[in-house]
Amino acid sequence: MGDSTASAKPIDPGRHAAELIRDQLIAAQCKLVVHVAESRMTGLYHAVHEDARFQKIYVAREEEGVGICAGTFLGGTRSVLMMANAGLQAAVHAIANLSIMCRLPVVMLIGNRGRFGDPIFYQEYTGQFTQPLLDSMQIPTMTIDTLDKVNLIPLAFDHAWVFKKPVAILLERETLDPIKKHYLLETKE
Amino acid sequence: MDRLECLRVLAGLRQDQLVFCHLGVTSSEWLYLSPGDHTFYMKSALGLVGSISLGFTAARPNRRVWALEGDGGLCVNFGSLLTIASVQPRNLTYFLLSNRIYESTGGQTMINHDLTDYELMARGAGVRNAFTFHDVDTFARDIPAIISSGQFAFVVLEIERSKQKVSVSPTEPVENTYRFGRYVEQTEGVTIFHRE
Repeated sequence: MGDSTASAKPIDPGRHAAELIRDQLIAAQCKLVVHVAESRMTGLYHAVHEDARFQKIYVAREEEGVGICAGTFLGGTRSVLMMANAGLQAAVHAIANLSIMCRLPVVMLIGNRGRFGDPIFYQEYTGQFTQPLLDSMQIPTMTIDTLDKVNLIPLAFDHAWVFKKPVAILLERETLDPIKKHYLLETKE
Repeated sequence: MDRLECLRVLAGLRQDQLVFCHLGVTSSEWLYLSPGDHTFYMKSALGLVGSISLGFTAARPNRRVWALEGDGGLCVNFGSLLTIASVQPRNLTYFLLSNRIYESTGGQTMINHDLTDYELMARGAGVRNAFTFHDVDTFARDIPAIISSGQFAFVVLEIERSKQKVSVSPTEPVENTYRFGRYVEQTEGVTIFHRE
């Protein structure tokens, strides 16, 4: 036997996570993906974009995505709205007055920016307000902070369909960006 | 054009089309002219008629759908014009009821009311089949061919307040969801609502 590690290709952790999530969307019978661009979810965007099993609709604003996903429910198909947590803030009215009020399930796959380990300072209030916003709207929330929890994603879809309400799946930094990097203060010798 | 008369033309032409209807006075008039479970009424979320129609037509590409949106609704969600233009589903006809005011909230003037050319903006977004109608007779003459073309169409109806006032009891939001959803289940042979 030769040394198999010498010829093994290194795994791209971000790509691997994206493919695992994509596979769970398939397992959840998700047929349509609605997406607004988000930097940390770029790998997931490509995994979905390149997969002919999904129909894709790219929207200008996240509240459109709430409407589109509500429409797919009424048409008998499952869909997902992929966005950053900033999009959650943009979509509040649509979530409250369409999804919640009319009992139309919408599954939201949300990149949870502005939490521990996010180096982008302007994500402060997207991170700080996400959980209180979800709590105030009583939206059931599934937190995916390790890769082994990715296989719970179909349960979020089932929950939305059984209870006919919006459901949030929070993708934490550790799931999509497994390469840990600590931002240390520079010191001058 | 009198809005009620425009909607009367559409109600007379409707066959198996499902309808997503704008909120406010339009919904009362459509319910009066075309009662039944074939219409989903947007109760409170302004501007999402086009979006929910887009999602439904993606799920049911063989079922014809009409979107009845108000200009106030389009303006509050104007990016949706680009999204709709990027898809242009063959089974969707998008009607924009443009009265240039916010009628249901007291008649406030629509933003940019005297300048906006909605048909031109749709064409600028890449919509291939965009039309504007200013009188009911021309609308009644030309719309049958448009709705049976098998192509996406964006139809602007430049209307004014209806002369006849109608009074109907609206359906409750959840009631409407179930009545419309059960109608889709029955006519499309699909399961929408979870069953134990």
